[in-house]
Amino acid sequence: MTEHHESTAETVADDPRLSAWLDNELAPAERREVDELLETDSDWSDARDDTASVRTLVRDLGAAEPPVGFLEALLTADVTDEHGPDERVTDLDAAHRRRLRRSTAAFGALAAAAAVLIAVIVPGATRAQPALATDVRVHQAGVSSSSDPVSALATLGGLSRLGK
Amino acid sequence: MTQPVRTPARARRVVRAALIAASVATIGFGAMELPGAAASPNPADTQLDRARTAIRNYEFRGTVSLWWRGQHRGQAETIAVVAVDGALRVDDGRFLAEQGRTWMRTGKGWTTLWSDTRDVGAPSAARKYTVARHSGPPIVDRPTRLIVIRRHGRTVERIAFDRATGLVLGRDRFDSSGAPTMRLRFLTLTDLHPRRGAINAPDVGVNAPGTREPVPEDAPKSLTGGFVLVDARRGDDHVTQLRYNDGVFEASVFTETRPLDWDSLPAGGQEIHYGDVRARRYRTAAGTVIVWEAGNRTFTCVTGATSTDQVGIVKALSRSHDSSWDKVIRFVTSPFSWS
Repeated sequence: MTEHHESTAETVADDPRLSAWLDNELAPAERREVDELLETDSDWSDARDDTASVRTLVRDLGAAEPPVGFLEALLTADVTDEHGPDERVTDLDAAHRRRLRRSTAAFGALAAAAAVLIAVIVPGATRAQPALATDVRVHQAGVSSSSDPVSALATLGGLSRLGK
Repeated sequence: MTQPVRTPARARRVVRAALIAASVATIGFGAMELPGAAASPNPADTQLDRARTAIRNYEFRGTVSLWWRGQHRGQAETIAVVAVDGALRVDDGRFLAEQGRTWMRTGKGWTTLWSDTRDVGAPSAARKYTVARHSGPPIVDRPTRLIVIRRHGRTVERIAFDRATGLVLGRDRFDSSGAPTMRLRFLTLTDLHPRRGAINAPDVGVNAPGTREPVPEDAPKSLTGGFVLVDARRGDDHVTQLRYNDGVFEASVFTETRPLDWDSLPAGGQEIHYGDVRARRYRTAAGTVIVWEAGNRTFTCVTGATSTDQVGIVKALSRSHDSSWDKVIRFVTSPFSWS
């Protein structure tokens, strides 16, 4: 009985073979295996595209110049003091992947909020809101031009309850 | 067979005959385009023309009492009217009318309500109504001439004109049931004398509403109850004003090509149903205001016409804009409707 693992783009991104594939560090047999996965499994191809784009982004940032004395201090520093010998080393690839996931989630939340906002606002913007008092005034002004102005315009009082 | 020789005199006669024929044809076609135009003036039109002229030719100060049927009860007001320098100022100068143009005072300036004074060629009142002329009761101690307009034996409007000047001194309007809907009377009329000066009228804004527009192709040219489309105007924003006239009453139909935001309507209206058309109705001194939606369009009708005519107008416009395709769209989208 074979064990079945459900893969997603996120779990695939954590697979060390992907990172090695991107760095062209796999043995020929392993590389063929990953090539096949990339062709047949969209989670693999998605993860490859995401990871590759993050790498490109990071590389495009360019090299940062360390401050004066930074390297010397790093070489002479006692790694056992303050944080102790078991201080974990940060995996930059994993950090970028987490950042990418957080960005995606934030973008999704923003899109959802925008959709809700549009749904609330748009009905008011796309629906007619007749200016009844103005309509009555314009109508009576037209009547005034072809009938009796006194009776046409004297009736325009008391329209404030009709709004604008 | 020899051709007739065209001498200069003969050529002139031919040209003259052609011009006369063209003129006759033009007049004939013009008349065909305006089937609603009055064939001959009726007493009501003649007297109302005289009343407008009187505003231009006389100066006076007066107060008028106004009563109208409100939403739930009768309401009354007293309004000041002043005619000076050929213009009429109503409601303490809030409204200004001159030569068919009308402005409303807003803050320190004026907003143009109406700027186009061209005659729209309303149909003759005789097509639908019977108009009778009587001797009227004196109003502010001045003898009057009374014009009574009837429909199916019921009086729908009664107008009292000052015999000497032609000014309208009183006006009564009735519903199709015979119940009064509006009553106007001059309470005082002083300093009446021929006009002395000329007003310096406010400017008309470039984008002022009331500018005449081509009649939309899909606008019904006539409605139930003898209303004929006489004019189309541009209103505020994207509103088109269609003006219908039955010879006595005018009905303005303001249309917007988008559905109605029912929640935006002011309070105090009455929810009514004309067949399967849902509408909101407001009663004002100027007439009845009805707002409804049909075929994804919003309509606002303002008219002093009777309730019977209002029903006809609403139903006719709803039918004409509620096509089968509109119904299909509404059926599909109604589950997502916000109203």
